[in-house]
Amino acid sequence: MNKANFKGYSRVLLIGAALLLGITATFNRVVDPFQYFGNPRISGFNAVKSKLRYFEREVKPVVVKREQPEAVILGSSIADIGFEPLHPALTRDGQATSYNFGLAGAPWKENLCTLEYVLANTDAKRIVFGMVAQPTMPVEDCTQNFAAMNKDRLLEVLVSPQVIQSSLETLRNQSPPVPQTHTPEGRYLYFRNDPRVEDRARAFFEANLRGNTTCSEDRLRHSLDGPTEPLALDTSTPSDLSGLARILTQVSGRDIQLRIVLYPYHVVGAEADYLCDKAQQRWFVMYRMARYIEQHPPAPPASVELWDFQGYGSLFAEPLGGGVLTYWQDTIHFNPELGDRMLDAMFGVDEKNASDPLTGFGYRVDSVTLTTRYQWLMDQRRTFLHTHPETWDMLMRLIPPEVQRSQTTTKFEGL
Amino acid sequence: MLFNSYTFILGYLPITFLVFFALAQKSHKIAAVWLMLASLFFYGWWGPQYILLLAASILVNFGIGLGIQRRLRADRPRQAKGMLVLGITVNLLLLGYFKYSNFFIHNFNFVLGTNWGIDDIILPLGISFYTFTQIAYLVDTAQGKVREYNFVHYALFVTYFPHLIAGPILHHAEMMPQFARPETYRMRWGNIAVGLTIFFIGLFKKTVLADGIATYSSIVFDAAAAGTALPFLDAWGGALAYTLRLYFDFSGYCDMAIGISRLFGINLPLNFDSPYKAENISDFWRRWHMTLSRFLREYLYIPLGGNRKGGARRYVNLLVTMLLGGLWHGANWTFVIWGGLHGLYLVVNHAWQSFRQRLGWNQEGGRAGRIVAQALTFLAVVVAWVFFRATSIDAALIVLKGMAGFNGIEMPFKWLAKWGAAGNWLLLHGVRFHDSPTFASGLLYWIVGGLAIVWLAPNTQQIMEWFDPALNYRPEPRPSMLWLRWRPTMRWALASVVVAYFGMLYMSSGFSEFIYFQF
Repeated sequence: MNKANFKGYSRVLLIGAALLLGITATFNRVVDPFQYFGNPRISGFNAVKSKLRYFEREVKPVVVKREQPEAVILGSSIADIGFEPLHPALTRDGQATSYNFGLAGAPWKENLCTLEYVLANTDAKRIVFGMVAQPTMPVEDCTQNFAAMNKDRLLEVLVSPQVIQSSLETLRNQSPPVPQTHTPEGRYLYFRNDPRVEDRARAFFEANLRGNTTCSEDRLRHSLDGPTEPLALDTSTPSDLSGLARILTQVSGRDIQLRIVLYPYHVVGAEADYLCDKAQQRWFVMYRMARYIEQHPPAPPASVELWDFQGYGSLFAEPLGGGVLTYWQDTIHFNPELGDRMLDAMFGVDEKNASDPLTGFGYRVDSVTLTTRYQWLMDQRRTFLHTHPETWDMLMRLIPPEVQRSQTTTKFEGL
Repeated sequence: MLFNSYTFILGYLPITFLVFFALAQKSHKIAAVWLMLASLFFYGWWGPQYILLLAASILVNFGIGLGIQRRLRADRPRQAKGMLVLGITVNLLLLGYFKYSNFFIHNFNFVLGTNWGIDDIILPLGISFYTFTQIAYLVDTAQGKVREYNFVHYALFVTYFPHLIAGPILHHAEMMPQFARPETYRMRWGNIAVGLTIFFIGLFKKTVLADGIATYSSIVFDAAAAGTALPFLDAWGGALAYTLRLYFDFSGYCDMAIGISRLFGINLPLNFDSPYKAENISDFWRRWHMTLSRFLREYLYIPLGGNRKGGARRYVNLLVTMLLGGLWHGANWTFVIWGGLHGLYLVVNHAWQSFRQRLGWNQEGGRAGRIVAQALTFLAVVVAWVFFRATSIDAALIVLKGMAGFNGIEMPFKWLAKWGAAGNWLLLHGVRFHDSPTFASGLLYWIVGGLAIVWLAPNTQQIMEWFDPALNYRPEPRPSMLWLRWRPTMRWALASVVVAYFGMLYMSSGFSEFIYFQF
């Protein structure tokens, strides 16, 4: 190049920079480390997506909008891990597409906004909406959430340092393959058979019970030894259900089956509520929600059902210490083996073997039968914990010492 | 629209550039109008409603300028002066309303215990810059220094998009003649090559360096804002990270503005000249935000009397100028304290110089003396930046207490094992080894690398000095590192490709505004 060749210099600079960016974009487009573009997964090249979990919130909204699934699963990590989108009830036996749009760590506001995003951007016909039983369900301002979900991220997933690093790591992680973080349909794979499940459960109990003066082992024992506490369904206390109202309005008149699921917990997780005198809250929430849905049903063909799956059978009491669990990841996250049964119940698969609607696995909540279900579950609980000392011992091992009645009392006989 | 966005680089800039030179072949005036309209579009991208405010400000100021000029020609200087006072008042009222209303009402309520309130007023982008630009124009008109009264050139001088949002604060005398000269309207590959190179150097500084170090400083200042006491290393890490972040952010912005303008054949004034190499605080202000310093000197310090009314009055003038300069940066007491500190530094510096002169110490300090002076100046500047960055005086004091060692020293746990006996010795002498959420050892690389660049490397203008990089740039008398002087060669083209590539690549890791946009 001539020393004073400004034109040549400028051309090399512009073309060179554009070329490098083009090569980078092509490379990332081909590897597609986040499954953003829906490229085919090629074994040994990009089949294992190990970086998606860091970009779940950026990628899932785009995939849902592009794929237009007929069924969508929503909720926090519990739904993200526990509900398999390829379940036949969701895919109409493989005839339709389905996607798990669960977002790890999503609080109520994000869940509600994600549901509204799905309703606004897809024609989904079956929606599973997982949530924790919470006293209020306020309407939320989703402006910022929508802006984030609708943001055009094309340049970020084509030319950014993060995507280059992710693409290179994706190539590197194929051989030997590292664990996949998500299925192509969006389900989060988390861990499986983690030997430290009991340790993590203990840490969870520590974090949630320590310092909480309402939590005590005496309270727990009393709830088992004493008479069943009557269900207090006082509706005079106002409770903000405006978020639920908005959901009902938005699905009204649309061909949507919406199933709202209150997450069930492993027995030791559920018993934490009895330790801390919060068990009745869940029933009160269910009652308020069910009553509201009954009083404000969405216009057909939409159907909205509230479901509860908390139980005290062997499905809910897997030993945590062994490291090999079928139905649970830990005390709050269930596996698809349990999630599949929940989907069976909610979408009426295998109706011949369906259990009794009031006393079986899964309960479609309604305000009239709620007390009966409560009484039945309390009996189940009492019987189960009296006849399964190993579950009681497991629970005692997790409770922080100051919450226990006595640091040495970990025997079932103490009941 | 940000300079560091694909919308700007791949859309706005090429379109504005190509249409400008296409129109310039037919009519210079139409090309200038196009550039003005494109600049208004650029401004309106952020908030279209404020285009009207900007347009009204231009019309009013140009009208007042014409009025002043006519009265001067009619030999009615008192009326001209009256119009000047009116013009300055209107400008200051506008700035005061948008920028300082909430601040004054808040303080008024605090002092008098009242409860007055107004809705939060959104600060229109760039208002501090275009207000000052136009006040200077009116003052110069009243002093008979303005030669040209072409509305299109005036409007273009105010709205010209490379400087509109965050400076440099332009002077009509150096800009309007450039808009008037025919060469500006001829596309030149020399301008394109130089402009693109300066632009991409600036982009690299912003997206790779400034944004790269930003998280380290934010963690520390956010913790201070939340009332968290900071250990020694954490506080120094945060303060130095911010010092470097601000440097690369503002320096990057200035380079980008100068580079973009050069594409259009317009040279902007130099605004940033390796300020951390300054050997005293006066030298610092000759290198940092040079066009603001010039404005404050010519339109505030000198009219206040400058150094013409004795030593004591000079110090008062310095303090007042810097306090107002601080307040110009933002309606917060932290900025006032920052300005006051710099005023105090300047007073001390001038007093020291007078003292030396009186004692006849006129000898230069030598290399070691210069290094000490540079380090001392840098230290003073870092301390003042703590107030500039902190969201409240309390938060600034928390950081400064940490820097002074009030909260002891904590080091990352892994260093204890790494340093062996030295680690144990430190442990015995009160150093805690603990992983702190406000300190990451990776920051050390940023600080060492960043300081090496700001202290040892030539700046953009020095790299580009053979090709007239900016107005008012004076080449070094004894240039060093000649191999780092840019020429349009293949080697430089390839190096620039790499700089441009990384600058644009890091642009996608989350667009961030320039710090000076908030002023």
